[in-house]
Amino acid sequence: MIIIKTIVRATDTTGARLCECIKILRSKYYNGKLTDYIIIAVKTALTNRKIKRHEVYKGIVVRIKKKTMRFHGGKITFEDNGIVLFNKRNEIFASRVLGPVCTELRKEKIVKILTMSGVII
Amino acid sequence: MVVKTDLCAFSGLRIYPGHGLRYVPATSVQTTRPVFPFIHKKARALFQRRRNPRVISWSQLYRRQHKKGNVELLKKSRKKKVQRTDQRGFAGASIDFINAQRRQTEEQRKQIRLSTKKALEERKTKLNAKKNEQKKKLEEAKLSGKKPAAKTAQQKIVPKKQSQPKAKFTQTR
Repeated sequence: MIIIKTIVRATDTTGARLCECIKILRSKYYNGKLTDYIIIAVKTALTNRKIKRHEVYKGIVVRIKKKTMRFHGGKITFEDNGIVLFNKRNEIFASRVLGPVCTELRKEKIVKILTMSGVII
Repeated sequence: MVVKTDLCAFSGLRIYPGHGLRYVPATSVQTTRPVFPFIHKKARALFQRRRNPRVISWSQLYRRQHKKGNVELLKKSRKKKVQRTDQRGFAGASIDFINAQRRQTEEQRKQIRLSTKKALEERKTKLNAKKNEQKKKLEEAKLSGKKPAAKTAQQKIVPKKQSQPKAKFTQTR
């Protein structure tokens, strides 16, 4: 459940660490869920990387703390809220994705993230 | 129909479909076991507090350790291997023959070996005699310039049937 002002973690090799959600690209009072596009502001970032503090990017939600129902009736929770960043041309920014990634991306046909990540759940 | 069940990562209880929840740690990811299934919130909370399931009395590990309740049911059911009772022959030898050989004493074996040797020698001598006769006949025929006479039924030497069992098995043991 991601709303405005929630802090999410960037799980790729761009250099961004903690980001703040500014906007969810859905209807007005919508809580962000898996495979939702959001706009973020970078709060903390590693030095000497492409991304710096206070920059604004687009991202996709890959992990979420809120329990989500699966097709067969099971529930799944992740440890943190994770996102993967996009650049200004709406392409995936990083070359690698860190940590586990949800399978719901396959349904949305964002297969490139699945190929980059090691663990798909 | 077999229902697919999962085992709780903390308590060891069975999770049937539609129950429980799966927790995925993001920071310390294990590629071999990335998901921890839990039967209920209590198990998950204790796991996240890093409690040892061997200490907590209702967990399956504790119950197995302290032999509580029906322990046999808790264990995985394994099928026992059924030993074959019926015996059968091996490599041309029937069971009766093998059993008879088992019951033999050493003296009996020695006798059998000697008798088989004798029988073989007799056979050899007979064969040699037959060959010699044929050779002689050929030589005679050559000298006289006539063709050798055709074989008769009486000339054929039929080896006697051995009363004792074959020598092959006795020698190997």
